[in-house]
Amino acid sequence: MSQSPSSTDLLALRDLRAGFDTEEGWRLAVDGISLALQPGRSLGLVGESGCGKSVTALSIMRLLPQPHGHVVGGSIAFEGQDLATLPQAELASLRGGAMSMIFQEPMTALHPVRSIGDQLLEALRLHDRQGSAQAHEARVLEMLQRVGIAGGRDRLRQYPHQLSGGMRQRVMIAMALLNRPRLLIADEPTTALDVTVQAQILELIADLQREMGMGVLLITHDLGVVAQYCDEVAVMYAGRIVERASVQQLFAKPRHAYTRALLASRPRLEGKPKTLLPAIAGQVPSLRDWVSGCRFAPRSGLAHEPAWTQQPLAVVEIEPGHWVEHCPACLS
Amino acid sequence: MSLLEVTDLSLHFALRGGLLRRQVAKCRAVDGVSFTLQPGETLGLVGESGCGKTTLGKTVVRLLEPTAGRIIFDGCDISHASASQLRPLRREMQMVFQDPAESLNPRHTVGDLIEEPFVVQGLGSGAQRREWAHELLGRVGLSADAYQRFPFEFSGGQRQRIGIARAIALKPKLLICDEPVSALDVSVQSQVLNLLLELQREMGMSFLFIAHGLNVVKHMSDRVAVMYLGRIVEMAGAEELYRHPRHAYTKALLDAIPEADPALRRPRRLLQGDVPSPINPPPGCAFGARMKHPLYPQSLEMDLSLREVSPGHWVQPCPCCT
Repeated sequence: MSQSPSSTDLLALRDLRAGFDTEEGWRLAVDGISLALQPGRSLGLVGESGCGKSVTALSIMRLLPQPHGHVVGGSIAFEGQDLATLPQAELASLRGGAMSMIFQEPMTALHPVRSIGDQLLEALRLHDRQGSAQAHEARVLEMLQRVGIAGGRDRLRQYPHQLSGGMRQRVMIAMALLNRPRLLIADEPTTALDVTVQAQILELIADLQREMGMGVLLITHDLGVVAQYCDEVAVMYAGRIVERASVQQLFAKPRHAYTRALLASRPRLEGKPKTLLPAIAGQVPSLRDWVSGCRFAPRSGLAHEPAWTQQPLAVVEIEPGHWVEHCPACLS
Repeated sequence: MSLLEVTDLSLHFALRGGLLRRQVAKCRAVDGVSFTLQPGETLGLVGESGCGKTTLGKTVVRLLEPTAGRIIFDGCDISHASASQLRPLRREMQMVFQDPAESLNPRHTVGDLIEEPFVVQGLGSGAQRREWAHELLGRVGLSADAYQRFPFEFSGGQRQRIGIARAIALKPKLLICDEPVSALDVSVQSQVLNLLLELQREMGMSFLFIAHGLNVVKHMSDRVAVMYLGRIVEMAGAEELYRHPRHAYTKALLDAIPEADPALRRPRRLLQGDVPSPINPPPGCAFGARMKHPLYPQSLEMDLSLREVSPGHWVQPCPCCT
């Protein structure tokens, strides 16, 4: 991963800034983040609720809620094309085609009163107007089988409410992959599911990624999921990326205090039962309390100069491929 | 003496349908569960959604009435106690829920919410209750000005603290914690888990700690029971269960946890299929049936009550899973 976009990047964000018009005025939710994803690789974007990870995903897809959500700065390059300035018509042909997205709660993303066959076929027709109806149906059935939904044609007539949560997520994955995207954005795809079903879904995404060679941006709050399924990881806190590296680097040598605290506060299977966890004090600052400098320093418990919360911080490469927001209080 | 002794507890719901509302199926939410809980002890209850762990928790404190079996709480048989018989016991057993936003009345101030248990039990004067509420706020780590604010003004973690303050107000002996941190952010989860551990140490409460994540359950518990389709399939000390799981389902649950260490990547033995429904479950070992294990038919003929395989380690003795 490099700080400046290179020509081989599938996706490159540079200094992306996005936010919302609210009743209390303009609020930034993503505050100048940069990251890059190569074809066939998977990047985990980790953070707690409100850190801006979903807003990042929606900005890439240009799906921020209208009329209040806007990208206000930076660039989003998909295969070298700047998505931020692309006309709507061209975007529409990319979305669900070369790049697609799966969401946390498939029940809200699937149409409740249209059969899943209908919805899957539509996704295919939108991007392939030439194919015959039979050819389309054959592809849909093949994809359903690939994501582990047995039952063939009968399934096409079912409605989302007739399926379990895991099955609905499989339908979403099938829909997202029908047009063989080169970029898949998965926003908390397994958060609503049981651990056993979570493992099935993540393995499925990993298999399909290998098969199709697509790049995956996996958004999650679970460091375990990242450790098991991603090549690279970016840790977000209060609208910024505080650390990014390969998963091997990040888990072996976390350098930012937030990353370290997140890892330490997780109940581990090897840990001793009923011992106190090294918890992070306080809570994630709300959007209106964001300072211009380090937003984690006040919670880090480390001695810090208030000045570090007041001045903008640089992101520095402290070893090849390992980038950290340079707050002297949080960096170790 | 055990604080809680549950023997062969079952709760079956009848599902009715058709014009005559005849019973068309039976949901065996809890099906022949036995366990004990000592004072100050935590029993973790883990399993996939729909396995009956929440129903079991609610039945134990008699928010639901069991179909069969016995619940002895603090020497009292409460299996079929009436509401008025239960009222004095309500002080002794309380619940903490998964979603504090839904379990706190949004129109009441935090002060009202925390004083409510005293009001219901007719304890203290207004001034005393106010003082107790302030003590409780401090104890769960909330500032005194929370007293006149409303639940929506708080974050998820703080709301869970309000829920906990309410639950411990009457100094219960038993606290049922039903997924108390599942809805919380990672950095806040550990705060709430620590608070529960500290309160337990101080007050000597027993916990029935229900969650779907085996790592959280293991961290909080002395002993852990694994539930599958209404039945406990394995129960042992927390360390023992994690180190020497005997039942195939426990192994599958352990295997599904993504460990936060890329060095521990491994091929997973994935569980096939969905979490099965407790409506008309298969006879015999339900997990063997899900796995289509060749030895599953043998479990149909067997008594599947838990057997002790080593001291304190109990397993359902089906040939397909052990």
